Amino acid sequence: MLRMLRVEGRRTVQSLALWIIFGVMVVVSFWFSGMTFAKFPEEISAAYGMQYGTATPMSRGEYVFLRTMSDASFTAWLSVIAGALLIGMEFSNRTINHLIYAGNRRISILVVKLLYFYLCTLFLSAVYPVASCFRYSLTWFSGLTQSDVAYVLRCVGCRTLIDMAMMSFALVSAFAFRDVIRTLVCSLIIVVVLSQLMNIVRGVGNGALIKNMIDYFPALTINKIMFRDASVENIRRSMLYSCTMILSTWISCHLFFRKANLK
Amino acid sequence: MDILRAIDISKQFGHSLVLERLSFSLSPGRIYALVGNNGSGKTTLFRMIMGLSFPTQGSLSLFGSQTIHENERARRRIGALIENPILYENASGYQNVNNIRLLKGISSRSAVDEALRKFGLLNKKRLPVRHYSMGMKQRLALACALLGNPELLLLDEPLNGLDPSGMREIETTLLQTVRDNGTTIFISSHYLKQLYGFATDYIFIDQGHLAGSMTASELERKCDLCVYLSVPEGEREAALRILSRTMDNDVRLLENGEICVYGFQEKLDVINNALNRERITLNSIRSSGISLEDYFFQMIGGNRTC
Repeated sequence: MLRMLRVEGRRTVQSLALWIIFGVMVVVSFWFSGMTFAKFPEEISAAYGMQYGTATPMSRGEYVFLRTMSDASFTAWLSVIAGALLIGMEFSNRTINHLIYAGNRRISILVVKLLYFYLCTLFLSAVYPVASCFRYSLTWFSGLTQSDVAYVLRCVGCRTLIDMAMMSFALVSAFAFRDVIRTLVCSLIIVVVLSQLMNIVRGVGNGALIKNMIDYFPALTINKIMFRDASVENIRRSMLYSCTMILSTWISCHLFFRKANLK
Repeated sequence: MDILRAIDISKQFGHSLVLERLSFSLSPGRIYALVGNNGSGKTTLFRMIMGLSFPTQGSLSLFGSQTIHENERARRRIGALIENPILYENASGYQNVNNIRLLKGISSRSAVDEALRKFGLLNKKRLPVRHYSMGMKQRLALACALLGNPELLLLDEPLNGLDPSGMREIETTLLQTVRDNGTTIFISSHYLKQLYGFATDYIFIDQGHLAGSMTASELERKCDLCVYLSVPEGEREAALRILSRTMDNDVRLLENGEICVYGFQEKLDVINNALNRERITLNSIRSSGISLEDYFFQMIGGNRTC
């Protein structure tokens, strides 16, 4: 398995397309963070803090950190493209066959591909938060207390799990269809339809079962758990839902790939 | 121990039965030709051997493996080129072969240059593969397949896209590999003349069924392919000795004084040259029998094109 990971790593470093995507994302992230945060006065960050029930108004550094960590919609779109390019393409070009020819078990290949996908997509989805924080939150980061560090780590950990859960549709589509175009189209449809459905269901009255279920859908829980005073119960339920989704994804991918006829 | 043993393997896609109860085995150090029409199931068989798909029924055993897991591990000992070359188009030739080296766990970096040199690609190793011609890509894929001296080489129509001199070069390289490393080669083609003179054994497949299997000399006998030579009586012994030494095929002296060499008409030049070199007078030379294509048509009992 280490051999496969090493080869995947080398291929990533050698891939001009990934470097171009990364470079474009860095430039766009800096530009977009400037558009979003430069004009925001401290009062708005305070109001934003109060909106989420924080006891004290936030500094702009913390506000930028919270805002960038609370916006995971980009991850869903990124995972659609990453699923098609990183996994669907491997099936379409048949390059995944090399891993089978080299005598690796399918379960090992699956693990490597999942790791590779998660690492690349998480790395790319971290560009915007990192760029924004680098630009506006360095002062706040330089004066972090122990509880601030715990808060930052909690946010990063939760965000990582939520992002991984949000990548599920792209991953399952990639292993189910094993084709770049079908992976792209199918995961795109799922993301669009689900986001519309969630908007509709959010209008349903409180207490309804579907409303309760949707409320803990990873993408929607992010606003409830990222702020400093988030309840443990909310965090626990959000993480449980995310982990369940991630685990279901792994099992589905394994079932699709285990006995699949490859091109 | 058999390199590969297939027992009653069948493969079904939906309602279509692509392979039906196929059984055969491969012995070490021989060159097996898998001959069949397009759509007869050759590629499906190769894909099952390499683990890209699974038999619906029956079992495949590689190097005496007993379980699926053992089969998976045994594939490290196989080099394969199935259908079109599988290459990273944006990576260079060197990077492509080097990735395979890492996957196969070959420690020596020089193996990459050696493989590229063998197939005449060393001076193009830094060029991205997207700039390679079809023939160069085919040779690069063969270099990848041969990396690490595999014990079994699976080649599915490997000479496609190559010009005649390229085909000859590849054949020579493959024969050298068999001689040097004792590699077993399992090669498929629907172009029968490509395989004649190269393969030591033939496996015929038709519409997913095993139509027959035989050695090259058995095939030549079945086709009754003979080249008849007439030489002066005093030179017969010398001619027999020279031909026996030169030709892999059976050489016999018939009662009527003619010398019969089992084999195909393509060898007429070789026979002529061998006798001319030793200044043996050739009174007449003629051939008989049916061609390999005709024999194959008879075997599959149809008039389909090959």
